[in-house]
Amino acid sequence: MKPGENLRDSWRRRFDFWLARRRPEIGKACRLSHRRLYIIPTATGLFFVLVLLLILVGAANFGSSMAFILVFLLVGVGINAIWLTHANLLGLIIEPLALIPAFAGEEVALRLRLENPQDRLRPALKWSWLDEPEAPVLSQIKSLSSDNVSLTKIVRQRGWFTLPPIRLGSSWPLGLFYVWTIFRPSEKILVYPQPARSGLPLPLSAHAGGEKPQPVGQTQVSGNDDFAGLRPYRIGDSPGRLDWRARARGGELQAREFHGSSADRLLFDWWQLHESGVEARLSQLCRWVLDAEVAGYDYGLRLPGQDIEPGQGPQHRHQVLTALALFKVS
Amino acid sequence: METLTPHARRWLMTALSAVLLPHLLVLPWWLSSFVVLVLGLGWGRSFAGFPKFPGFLKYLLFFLALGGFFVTFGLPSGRSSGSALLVLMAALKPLEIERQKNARHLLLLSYFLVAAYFFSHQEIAAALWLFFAVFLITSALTALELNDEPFFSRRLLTPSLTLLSASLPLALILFLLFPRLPGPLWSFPEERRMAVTGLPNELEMGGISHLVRSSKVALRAEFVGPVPPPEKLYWRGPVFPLFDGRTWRRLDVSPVTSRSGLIHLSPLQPYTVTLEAHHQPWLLALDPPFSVPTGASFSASYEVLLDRPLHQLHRYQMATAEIVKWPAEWVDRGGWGATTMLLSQIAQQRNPRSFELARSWAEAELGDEALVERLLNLFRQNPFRYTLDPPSLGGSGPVDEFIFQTQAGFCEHYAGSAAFLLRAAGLQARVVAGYLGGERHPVGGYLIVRQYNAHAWIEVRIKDKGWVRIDPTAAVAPERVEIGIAAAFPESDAFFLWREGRGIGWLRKVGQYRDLAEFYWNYWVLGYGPKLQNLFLGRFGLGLHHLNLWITALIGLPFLALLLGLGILNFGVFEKIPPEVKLYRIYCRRRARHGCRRKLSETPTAYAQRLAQKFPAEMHENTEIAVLYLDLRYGKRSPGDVGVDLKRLRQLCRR
Repeated sequence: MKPGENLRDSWRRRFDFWLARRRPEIGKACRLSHRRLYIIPTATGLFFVLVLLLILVGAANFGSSMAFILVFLLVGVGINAIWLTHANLLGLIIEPLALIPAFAGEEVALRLRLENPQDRLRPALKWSWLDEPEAPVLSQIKSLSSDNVSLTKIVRQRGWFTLPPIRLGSSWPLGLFYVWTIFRPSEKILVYPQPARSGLPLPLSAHAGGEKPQPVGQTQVSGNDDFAGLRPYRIGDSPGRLDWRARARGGELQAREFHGSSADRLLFDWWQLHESGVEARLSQLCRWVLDAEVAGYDYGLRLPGQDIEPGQGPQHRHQVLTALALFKVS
Repeated sequence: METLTPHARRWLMTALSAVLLPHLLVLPWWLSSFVVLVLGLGWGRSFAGFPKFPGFLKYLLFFLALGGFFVTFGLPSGRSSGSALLVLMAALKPLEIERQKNARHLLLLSYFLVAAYFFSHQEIAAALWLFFAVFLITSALTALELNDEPFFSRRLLTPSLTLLSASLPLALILFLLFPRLPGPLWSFPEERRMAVTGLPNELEMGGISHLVRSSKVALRAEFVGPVPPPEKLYWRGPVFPLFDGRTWRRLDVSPVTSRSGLIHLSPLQPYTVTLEAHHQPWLLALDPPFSVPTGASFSASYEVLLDRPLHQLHRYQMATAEIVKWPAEWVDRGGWGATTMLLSQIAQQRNPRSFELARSWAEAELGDEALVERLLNLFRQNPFRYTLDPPSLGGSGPVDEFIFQTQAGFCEHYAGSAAFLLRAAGLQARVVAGYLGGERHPVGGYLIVRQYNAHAWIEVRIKDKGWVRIDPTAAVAPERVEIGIAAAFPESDAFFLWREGRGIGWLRKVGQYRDLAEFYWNYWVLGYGPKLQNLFLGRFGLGLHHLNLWITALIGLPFLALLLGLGILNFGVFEKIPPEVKLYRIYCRRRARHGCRRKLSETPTAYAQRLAQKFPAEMHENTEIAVLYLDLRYGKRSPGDVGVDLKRLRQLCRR
């Protein structure tokens, strides 16, 4: 039992995990058929049955036809509520979208695309991680349309993270029955190390070449001598390198390109760091990578057993951060 | 735990107010006003800016309600006090509800509150209220699920309407088939006398005339043959053999036998009575009742009695005959014992002048029948008046006062005095209360007897004849007996003009049809008990004795309904599918047969591309279908274009 959890919820969680293990992982779109849906009466539903029994006994005792009509009507309402609740999930199509890597200590997001192929509204859908059912995300999907839902979770550890199973449930319309389904996303999410909060300044002395680096802040402005021309903007270009003046004149957004500017080439070296712990070192390296990317330097990485040549751009950043995320001390 | 939003709270209050409304009409006025006040507070809480109620206020209201309840009802023991307590608590509950869960439970209890009303009231209007209240409660439950939905929204009302209308057929089947048990499972101790218009348990001078102010239906009767003339329609009710000089009382005896032993000398006339609940054990029957219906028996004074007071509408079959022969045992019965004698002495001391008068008749040593004639002559020859508003008789000897001073009275004055005088003259006589007459419904053909038909007469034991009915009122106002109560009073009496609806034709018609609806309602809905059920099912060869079949049907039916519902949803039987989707599905199914099934996540364009790779010959066709389908499905086009495109798509897909 987890702390602060009562016995019933604990059993519920265990049951759900048992169910989840029986289910194959899903990576593609999946249609919720009746085989994937479970439905049980809620506590309120059981109370409803008790009320019905009371009315029935009263009706038989006082020979009241109207009370009989009432109780039979409510039996019908209860039974119809079962299938109305069940229909709220039946036929929905769920598709997990591509996962975006995140940093440890931050939220990872699982984004799902939902499609409602039927001509009816699906209100009051509750999404939650199986291991934290307390705070569900609420959503609804209009008839014949699709929508995105994202579930977030804070992750502390770098590396590959297996997402826990997800529960999608609903007790609409009356709250007497609860229908739910459970599925495990098949893909794993990559978690980069947590960037050090206020790290060391960029190691400008440890540049890749032998020349003296120029101080930060002057880099972009004073690097004029190496200016090689303009090229169209690419996603990931640092704001400092964009030609804002040309943009203000009404032209295309363009980035300044520099050639062989050795001043901008940095090498982040595992052995140069004096912190004790592995994680602390990785955090510091991560911080540098982020800072260097923003400042527009080319940067390389030296790790035990792994060297990455200097470079920049989103691809390069991802390569370096992946190396940090998956780093293992041998 | 989710807290209650103002929207949901407003729905809770709406449903609760609708549920409590009819209860308010039957509660004592001060309790009703208390409930209205508390509901008002609950409503206030549902609007933003209204503060949470302090704890002491809730306790104060709670103890006020509880105190008031005990003052009025004492310990809760029966139906009306039980439901009054429930109503009070239900009205107080919203003041302290903050969570959705508790609101949900209160709403489920409101279903029971609806039933609680039906345990003692079942008029037609209440049936409409039933559907309305159940609809509101169900909508309120839905509102709790859709927390931030606006108050009136289709999204909120549609599910409850669907649920209710879909459950009607099942409710009807269960109503007809669910086995009804005769009699209660257990009986509650009876509460204090309810204030109900009807024949009294004890008769005093003036005890019947107040009934005449009421046009409430007492009973309805259907005859197999023609309806007997008004002067034969003596509906016999309670019998009062005991008299202490002021009050006539019933013999406090339990039922004696269910055999009458009567022999009819004229043809038997069967009829069926539907008697409104009057909370007394006796049944009304035409005089003389020839036999008792099942579940009833005769008392010593030949009343038809149930073994418990009648709290529901009751339907029973009876028979009467004009001329009967009484067996000896009935003539001797009647409880003429020591108590009767002792009470008679007290009565004589209280009314000495009348007693002396009767003694003088007895000394003349006339026969029994001549004595009776003497008595009736007393009423005929003196200026006695038949009136609805007799002067009240306050003294200790009401008979003396009536005979010698006021000489104005209603039927119970005449019956009571006559029985007293005859007993003083040495005969055995008792007072009978009941109804006289009734009006025939022009469409339904049945007889309606209303409270204003209430009447009292006497029965005298006459040598060689047994108990003979004598109506002293007939000596004063023969038109009361021969025509009806309206004829006994002058036309100018506005009260009767209104009651009878004379002169206002359409109003009278409306009244007649209302009564007809009520009659069928009583028969088919309220009267549907074990007897009618057996009769109804017997027509299909399904008596209650086919127990196995019954149990199977009752358990199987709901499951069958459930499976049907699931099946319909799963295969989309009632789903409205746009034509282009239908066509596209056909197309996909055909291509799947050729070994290229469309994947769930595949868009039509992607599918068309994949098809093009596999069947290059049909590339143009596949692409056109994808484009047409996407345009029809998602593009905005004028209705004319849609028609053309659909036609083209149909051509392509059916190929």
